[in-house]
Formats: sequence, structure tokens, C-alpha cells
Amino acid sequence: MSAEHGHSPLEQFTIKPLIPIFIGDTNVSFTNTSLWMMLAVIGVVVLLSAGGRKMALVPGRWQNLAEVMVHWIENTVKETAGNEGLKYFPAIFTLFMFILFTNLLGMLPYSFTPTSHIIVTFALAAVVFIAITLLAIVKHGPVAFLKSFLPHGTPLWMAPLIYPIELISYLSRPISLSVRLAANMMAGHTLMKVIAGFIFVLGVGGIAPLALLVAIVGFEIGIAILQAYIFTILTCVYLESALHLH
Amino acid sequence: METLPPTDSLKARIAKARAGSTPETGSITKDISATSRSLAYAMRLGIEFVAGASVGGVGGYLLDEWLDTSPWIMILGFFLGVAAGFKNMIKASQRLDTVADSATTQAHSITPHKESPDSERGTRP
Repeated sequence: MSAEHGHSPLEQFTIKPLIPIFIGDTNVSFTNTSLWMMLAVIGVVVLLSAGGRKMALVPGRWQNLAEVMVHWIENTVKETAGNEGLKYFPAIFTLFMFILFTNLLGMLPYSFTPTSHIIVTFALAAVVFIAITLLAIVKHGPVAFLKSFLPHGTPLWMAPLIYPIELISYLSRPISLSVRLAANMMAGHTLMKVIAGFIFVLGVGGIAPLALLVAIVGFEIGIAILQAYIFTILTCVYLESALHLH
Repeated sequence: METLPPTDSLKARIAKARAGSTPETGSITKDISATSRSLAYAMRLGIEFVAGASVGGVGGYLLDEWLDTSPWIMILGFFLGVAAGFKNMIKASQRLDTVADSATTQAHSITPHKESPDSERGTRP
């Protein structure tokens, strides 16, 4: 019954076209996903340009916030990928800020979370995967790249078994990267909606799910930050393995 | 020259106040973030395994379609995928030990009262 009235916990994930655009038969409408991704980009630009405007020696509030984020990701890149990885810091930081803002904007009531859709996270993961594979091939040459799937000191008779395993393990990276982010965001938002559905149904007793919901919202904000960070740190780990090929 | 001793005692008092105050103020947020972090890591291992198995299975299926050898490559691919998934899981859990430590210190530097990022950065390997 509740589904008919549009209160299904999964209804929040439907994509609604806001401005229908068709090129030939291809649907390229401006949807709610597009809108919230655009808002995330605008949010990142506003925050960082507000923080970088003054460049004061003693940072103000905005500058401090921007600096904390930059230093946080800079440290992560340096620790996982080494100083060589710092060359790719702008790309990684952009990725982190985009995911962080789409995740956090999704926590606003009536908003939409683009990162709860696997196609969005898969596109992000595919960009990372293709870029890092190309980087490894360009830096070390295609032969060394193909050889890197065989760990050092593998007996030759084991190679037919080890090689496919290593290859599959390499190819599964974008899958695990994208599924993890999308599943976390979707599960969290569904859970919040389900618990919220109990509040009015239970009347006065609804105070218990309300209290639980408050805790879950805090928990979800933590997950939103953490998942953006995990995506970033794994990108750094993959970057490191592409730079050193082992 | 007479200003030196008061500065010293101030430094000592600041250190004392800091040591006393941090465990209490941070305990609740630390608890929540620690729980969510360990949950996220647990979920990560599961996904790591499933991703390996599914890539092996689906990759084998596509090769079967192409080479018309159904279902043999899919079966082989699935088992190789499971092996790859286990390998990923082991690797990820080994990595977690090192990452978890740095994530703990890093995550807390996002809170407003972070002292000096530069001195912190210098000491890290």
C-alpha cells in the first residue's frame, strides 16, 4: 500500500528528468542526478575559492577548512604513493572533493545522492582504472606491464594458474571500487528511510525510532566522509602499484 | 630575561591541560567513527571477494559466448575468480593494518582544533 503512495524506501533513488533533452533517439535529459552532481561541483568550487581568496598567513575559517582538506589528502597521497605520487595530487584531490560533496549533499533532506547509483561510481572507478593502466604502460612499457602480473620468483609451471588469477584480481579493482561506494550510500539511505517510516506509524512510541534515526544520521555522515576517503586512498594505492609495478 | 620562567610554566600548563582534556571530549565521536570505520572495513573485504568471483565468472561467460565453448571457460573463470577474490581479501586485510593506523590520526586532523599541519607532515615517513 505504501508503495502506491510513493513512500517506498527505494523511491528516493528514481531518476527524474528535469529538463528533457533528446539528441536523435538518445536521451540526454538534465536529470536530478545531473543537478546534484552540478551542485556538488559548484559547492567544491565555492568552498575552495572562498578558502583560497585571501591566502592569509593566519588562516580564517574558510581558509582553515580548505587547508585542512588539502593537507589531509596531500598527506594521504604522500604516505601511500610516495613523493612521486604528488604529481597526480590535483586529480586525486578533485576526485575526493567531488565524491565527498556528492555524498554529503545527499544527506540533506529532499536531496538526491548521485553516488548511490552504481553507474556514477563505476564511471569514476573506470576513469581511475583506465588512467592508472595507461600510466603504467606509458611509464614502464607494455612488456613490463604484462610481466608484472607474474610475481617475482613464480615457478614457470605455476604461471598458467597464477597469471589468470592476478589478471582477474587486477580487473576486479574497478568493480570493487565502484560497488563499495554505491552499496554503502544506497544501503545507508534505504535504512534511514525505513527507520523514518516507523516514526509516525508508532505514534508516541515513535520516539524510539526517532532517537535511532538521529544516531544513524550521524553515522551516515561519518560513512559519507569515510567512503570518499576510502575511494581516494585506494586510488593512491593503485597509483603506487602503477608507479612501481610489483 | 625575567620573562623566561613564566613562558616555561605556561608551556607546561598547556601540555597538562591538553593531556587532561583530549580523552574526554573526543570519546563519543571517536566511538562512533571507530564503529563506522570497522564496519566499512568489514564490508570492504566482502565486496573484494564478490568482485573477484563475479569478474571471473562474467569474464568467462563472455569468452564462452565469443569462442562458443559454453560453459567451460565460465566454470574455470569462476574458480579462478574465487581464488583472485581470496587473494584480494588477504591483500586488503594486510593493508588495513597500516591504513587503519594512519586513518585514525588523519581522521582526527579534520576536526577544527588541529594544531600545526606542517610539523605533523615533517615527521611522517
